Amino acid sequence: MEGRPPFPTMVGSQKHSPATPTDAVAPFDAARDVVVRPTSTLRRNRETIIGWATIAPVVGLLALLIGFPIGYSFWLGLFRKHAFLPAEEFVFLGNYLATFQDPEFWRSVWLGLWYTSATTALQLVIGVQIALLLNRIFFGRGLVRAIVLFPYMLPNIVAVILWKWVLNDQWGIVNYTLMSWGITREPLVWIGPETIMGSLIAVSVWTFFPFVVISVLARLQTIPPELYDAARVDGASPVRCFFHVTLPQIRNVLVIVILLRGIWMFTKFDIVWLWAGGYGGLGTNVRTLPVYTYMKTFGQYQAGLGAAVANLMFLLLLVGITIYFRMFRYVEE
Amino acid sequence: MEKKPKTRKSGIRTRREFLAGTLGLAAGAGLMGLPRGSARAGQKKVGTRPVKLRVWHTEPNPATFKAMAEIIADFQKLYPNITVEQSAVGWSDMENKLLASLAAGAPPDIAQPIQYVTPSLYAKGLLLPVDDVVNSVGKNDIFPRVRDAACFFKGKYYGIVHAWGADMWIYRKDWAAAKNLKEPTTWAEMYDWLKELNEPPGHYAFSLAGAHAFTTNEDVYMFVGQNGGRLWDENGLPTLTEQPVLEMLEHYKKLTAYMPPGWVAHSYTDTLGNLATGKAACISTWGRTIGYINQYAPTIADPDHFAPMHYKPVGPSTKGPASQKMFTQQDGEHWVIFKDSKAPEEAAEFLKFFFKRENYLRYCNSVPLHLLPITKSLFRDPEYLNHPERKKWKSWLDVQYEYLDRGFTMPLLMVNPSDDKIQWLLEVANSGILADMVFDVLNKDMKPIDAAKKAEARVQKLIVEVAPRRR
Repeated sequence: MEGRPPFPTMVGSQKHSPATPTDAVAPFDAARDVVVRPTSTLRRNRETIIGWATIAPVVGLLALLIGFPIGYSFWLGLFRKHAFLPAEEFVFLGNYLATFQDPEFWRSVWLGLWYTSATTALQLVIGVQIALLLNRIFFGRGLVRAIVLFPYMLPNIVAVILWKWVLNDQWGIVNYTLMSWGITREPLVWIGPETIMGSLIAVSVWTFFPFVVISVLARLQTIPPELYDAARVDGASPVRCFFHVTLPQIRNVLVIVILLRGIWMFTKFDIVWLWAGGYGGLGTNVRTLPVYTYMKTFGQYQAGLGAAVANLMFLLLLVGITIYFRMFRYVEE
Repeated sequence: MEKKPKTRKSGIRTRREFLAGTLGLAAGAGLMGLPRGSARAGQKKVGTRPVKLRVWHTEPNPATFKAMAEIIADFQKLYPNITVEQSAVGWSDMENKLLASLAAGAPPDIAQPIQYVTPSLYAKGLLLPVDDVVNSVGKNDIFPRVRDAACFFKGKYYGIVHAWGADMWIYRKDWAAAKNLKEPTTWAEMYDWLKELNEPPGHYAFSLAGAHAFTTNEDVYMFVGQNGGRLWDENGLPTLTEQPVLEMLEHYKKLTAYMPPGWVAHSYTDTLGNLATGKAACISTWGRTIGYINQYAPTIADPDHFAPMHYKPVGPSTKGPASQKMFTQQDGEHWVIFKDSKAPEEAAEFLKFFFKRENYLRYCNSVPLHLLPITKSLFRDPEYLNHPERKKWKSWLDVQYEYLDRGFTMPLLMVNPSDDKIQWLLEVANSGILADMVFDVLNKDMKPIDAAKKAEARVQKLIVEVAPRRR
């Protein structure tokens, strides 16, 4: 590291900047394209200090905003603690053991994975198709683009209430229409034990697919038309064009979109909670991990246990993201 | 040198004697007079210092909120230094909001927790006694069951119910009359009765709220009570595997045949809508339902069409007829004052003012058939009874009064009087375990005994985990 300061003083074109007395005596090493200075320990130390001092506020802020809650959550997970009382008891890994032994936890993991994969996959398929459609030129395209974004602009509570009305078995417009047209004689149950997960997935996809549309559409608009022209000249069909031109071009966007939507759906609380009306009874059929965590912390007032579940959820996500990136890197290589 | 003994003139006391005498007098005065003195001092203090009272109640409906605002305005006229700030929080949100504020060390001065919360708050030493308020209202004038349930501990009152009501089964009397049906008195009769009234998809015979664990808790404990059973033993431990509870689960299963297919997703207000719009023949509900009936069925809004069942039918394990042994829920959140209140005297003064006849009448009139007065005198007051809504729906009022008067009512999750001292009902109520038990039977085809065993084990585990110091 000798002769190389921790923070390079000048690189590249900086050699052409107005000369200072120090610069005037500094020899120029053309091979490294760096002005090599006679360095001293004092100077290096000073620059190190300045460097650290500059980034210290950001590091401190990050530690406070990210590190503290995570650290506190792990700390809390080691205690048996009532959510609202100061009494607590150190149980070390007892909360984690209790969680692993709880069949409801594993059911929540399974339900969460099912909900996440189904909603993410459907958002992706529908979102990409609509983005492809909206990338074409047609009359009223601007209006259609605005309408497509509408579900994403609605607050989740509004979306849930809206869909609960639409799908209500007694007064909902869907059942009314189906019965009026003679398609069914009895009202269909859209939010029942067997159907609640399906309807929740449908409502979630409806609410969040515009995110995929926006992201993919933005990338589609930057693909040079020449690529398609060349493919067509080579006799490629629209399907081949999609798989050999469009898909490789939007691949990086899709990687990020899948990652973000996957994380968001896995940690999604509000829409699941609102759709099920809580965690008990019917809610057991869609009691995903965030809802299970809430139930433990604020329903059963076990803050330590709730923190342990939240930590496990965090670790699960970390593992998932690591595997995802490794898979992506493998495919890329 | 020999010291000369001090001589004392008669009538002159030494300093020690003087001090001892003064202390003795002070102590005597303290023992005899101070309580009254301090009470007087407290009374003097009320209104002399600027204070802000935070009041959280569970009546967000506009009429009650307005009535409260008027009472507060009058109180502030009387005590210009006291500012009262009311917040209306729906009962389903009150508990967590309240507990979060307690955890943060900033509770409101006065709040209205649901009755099963009060023993829990008392056990944690978070409440102040309100005997002063109870006495000011008139201890003997308050219906004893309303006055004492879940707030009377070690000879002191730690809460006072703001208004009470009893859960009724309201049914379409005209439909039943058209089919010449008599009110059922047992569960077995009830199935036949429901079968007659069930005409899907036009309307269903019965409607329960299945969407929230809270309403399922209500139905579970009421059915168990109607079946002569219990949820808790003398030590407050669960008794979910007892026969009356298992029969309750079977009963639930049978009822689903007469309910809308999507009832599990119906909220409490959905059931009110079902009755008022003619989608259901019978629901389990409160006096508040009249508002829905007036709004959605104005042409038939009368007790000839919507009548309360005289007695709720009883289950097979009940020892006696419905007219003797029926059971239902007694609603009525407690006004409580928190120990951490910055102005406890002012808070008590506000509650006394709230219960003054003219103010209290105004409050009760905001939902005439739902917020029933806790005092016998107001309940019999001609001005109260002559309210047009009460005159019109008198049968609804009479039924509720009879339920209370004959001891058929208990607060939520308390079937027996001894249950009102259990300190973990709050945690069990919010755990969702009872609702899970019902749905294990209804939707997962679990046998009642297996579902009950599972639920009982979960409740026991929860009690151990959340109340390690109270076992």
